[in-house]
Amino acid sequence: MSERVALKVDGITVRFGGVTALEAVGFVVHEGETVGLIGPNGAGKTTLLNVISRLISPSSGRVELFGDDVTRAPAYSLPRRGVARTFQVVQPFANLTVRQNVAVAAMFSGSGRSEDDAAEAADRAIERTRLTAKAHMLPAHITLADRKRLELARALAMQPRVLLLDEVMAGLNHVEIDRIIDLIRDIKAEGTTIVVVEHVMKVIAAISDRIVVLQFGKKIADDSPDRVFDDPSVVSAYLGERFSKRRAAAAQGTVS
Amino acid sequence: MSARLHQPVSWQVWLLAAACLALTVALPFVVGNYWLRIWTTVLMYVAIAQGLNIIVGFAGYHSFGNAAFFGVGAYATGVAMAMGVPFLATLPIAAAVSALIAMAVGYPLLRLRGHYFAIATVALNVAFAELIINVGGVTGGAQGLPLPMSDQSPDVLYRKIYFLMLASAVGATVLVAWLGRSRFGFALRALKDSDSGAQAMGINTTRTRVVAWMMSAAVTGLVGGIWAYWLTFIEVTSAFDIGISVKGYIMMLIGGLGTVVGPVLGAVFFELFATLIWTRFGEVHNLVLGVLVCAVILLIPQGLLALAQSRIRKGKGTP
Amino acid sequence: MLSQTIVNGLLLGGIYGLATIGFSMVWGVMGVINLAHGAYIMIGAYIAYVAFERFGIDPFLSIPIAMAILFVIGYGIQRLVVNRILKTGLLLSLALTFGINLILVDLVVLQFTSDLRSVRTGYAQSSIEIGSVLVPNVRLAVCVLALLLAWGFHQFLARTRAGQAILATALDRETARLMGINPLTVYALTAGAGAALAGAAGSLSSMLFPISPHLGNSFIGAVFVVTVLGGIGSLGGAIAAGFIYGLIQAFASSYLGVSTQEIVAFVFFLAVLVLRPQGLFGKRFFGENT
Repeated sequence: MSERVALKVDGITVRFGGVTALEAVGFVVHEGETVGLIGPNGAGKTTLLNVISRLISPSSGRVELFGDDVTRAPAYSLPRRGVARTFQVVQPFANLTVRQNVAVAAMFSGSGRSEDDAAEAADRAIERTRLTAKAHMLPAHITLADRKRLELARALAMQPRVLLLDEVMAGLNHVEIDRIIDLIRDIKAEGTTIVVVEHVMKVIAAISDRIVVLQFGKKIADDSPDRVFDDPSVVSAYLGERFSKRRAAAAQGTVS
Repeated sequence: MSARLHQPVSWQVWLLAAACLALTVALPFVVGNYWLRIWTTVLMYVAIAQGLNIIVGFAGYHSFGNAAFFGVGAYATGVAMAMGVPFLATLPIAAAVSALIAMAVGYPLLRLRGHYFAIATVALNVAFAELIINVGGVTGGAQGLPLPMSDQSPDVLYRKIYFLMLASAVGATVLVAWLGRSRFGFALRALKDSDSGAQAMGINTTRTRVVAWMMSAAVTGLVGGIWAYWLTFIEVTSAFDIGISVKGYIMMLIGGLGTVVGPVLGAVFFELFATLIWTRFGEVHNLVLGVLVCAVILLIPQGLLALAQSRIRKGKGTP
Repeated sequence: MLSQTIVNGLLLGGIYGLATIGFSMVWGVMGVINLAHGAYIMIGAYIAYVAFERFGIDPFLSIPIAMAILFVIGYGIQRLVVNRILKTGLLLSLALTFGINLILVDLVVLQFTSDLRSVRTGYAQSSIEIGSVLVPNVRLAVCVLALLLAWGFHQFLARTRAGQAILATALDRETARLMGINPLTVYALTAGAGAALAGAAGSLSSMLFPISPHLGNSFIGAVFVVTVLGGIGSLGGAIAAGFIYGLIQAFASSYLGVSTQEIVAFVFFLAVLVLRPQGLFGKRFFGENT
């Protein structure tokens, strides 16, 4: 993990009519770092991702990507800058096959690849996400887990420097979750900067270098996993007593 | 896995296409003026339907008023010829003017979704017609605009026009085929399925849509220009007739939108049938046409092409 | 001239509003753009004509007749034909209703030929004078009646079970179905009511415009514009937008020349679309299904 700042979010406030979805949220992600973004539902996690990936504009604040101000940049300029994101509610292109879906992602990010280059990049991403057998199927005909993998494959095909993952694990079983954790570890090992929004704490604990906690649109913690998990305000806001007890028991278990 | 992202075209299809093309080229030398006229119209509608295919079938924007560009092309040719430009030179002008107008109105209008965009194009269609009437002057306004007559013999002239329409139809079809396998085409198909998803992949969806409409407009305007020269006299009601859009739409629908061959099938089928009905039924031809349209929509909504494809598949024994 | 222009515009606006309500509701409730709506108006006009010429019935009195006949036609067409392709979306319903329009118009041409007809009642030329403004009686009565009918339809929607069912289906088809409302019946009902209102508008028009099988085509442009201006599916919006449309046309006609009517209206319409697509009054209230 380098000292260079990959992503800087500063004083982001988002208001929808009378509702304040985010208030003065700020944090820094260094290159190669993995930051987990957690918090109860409605805390503003996806809204924050939407601001970073430019689907919505903040009412105030700044977003900086490798030093460049992208607060008002158009959404389609982000892949060129090395940002890829997955969507919580997966929305693949329904009328394109898995392979075509991933190829489109490869085609328009970076330096505008030709159709054939994109196809090759797509094939590689599909192999990594183990979708090779289903490459010629339509998204509607594959399982939810596979569609999540498709989301990941599309993100990977863009060869991002910064990867935004929005609740990739939702709806998956333990085996699938473990597989995807391994995949994310690989991506992390390649030096990719990752921001992960998740409710499955196992994932957050397994891969995060740091955790940012949101509640009611405000940041209430920004620290290493150990300290965040032991933070009483985080426990009461989100993690719950059971989580703490299980953590304590697990710690004792390994000791004894 | 092969590198290609699209389905390769089988040699049978190539052969069939070549055969059809050969027949179409030979046609004017074999049939009389009556049928030549009919087939010229068919080819014109192939181009119109393909133009619609680009903006509707690929981009997913329902341009009900696309005939606006047909009229623009017609008047571009008419006005240019009135100013002394030779006919063939007016055709690129007709296409270019149509494309530029599509660009100008495309940026504001293509931000509208679904129904709203459709209605806006209808308003555009009517507005252009009214504009010509109010501007008058060199466009002839409400009186219409006569075009200089050619000094070639009718036979030669009508053949020339036929081949121009053929070239346009083939060009439009090739353009659509290119869309099916090009980066730009993938961008269109992506944004049709999910605009925000496409943007997240790095596609400038606004610009892509506008360019698609420019292509559609250019093709439509081009045949509008040829049509004007063919008729030697144009006026607003027929040049901007929304029926042109509607017919093109139905042809595209009947044949199968988003496909390369669909609009061709649809144009041939619909126009031939319409002509047949007109000659046989004369007075009640609209009635029969209406029944036909309803029947097709109710019985084969997926389009003729899909129907043919499934029949072929059944014939081969594959499910 | 100003007050005369305003009066002209308002008087005409009433009938544009009435002519539009059915179209707007059908679009809002089931997402169908009914290109045959113009034909319904036209048929209403012919019913008034026939009633007047053959049976000596005053056109105002033939309104209920026209409404009844057109309700049956609209209901029938929806039930038997359009309901079948509803799942497939916008495109097919357009082509289908286009075909239906062709059929209806041609049937009328066959029966009546394309000759222009008119309904000339004894009181057709009379008018009231208010100050310097001339208010033709017929136009006034037409406008008042149009508003009455619109109000009546509003009451129907608000107070009857059938009306509430229509509103419920527009808002949320699935939930309505769960509550025992059969959407197909509701659609047919809406289509019937829409056609009936169109028929009423047609009957009223018979006193204002020359009648021909192509009357519908000349109305449909205005109907489109008024629908979007008022917000798709909004009854009140349709009425208000009808008046605005009438006023725009009247002003364009008085100050810029009769030939500019259409283009001014359409440019205004395009501007509204681009700047405020939900129309001047629309609240994205009725189901923007699709």
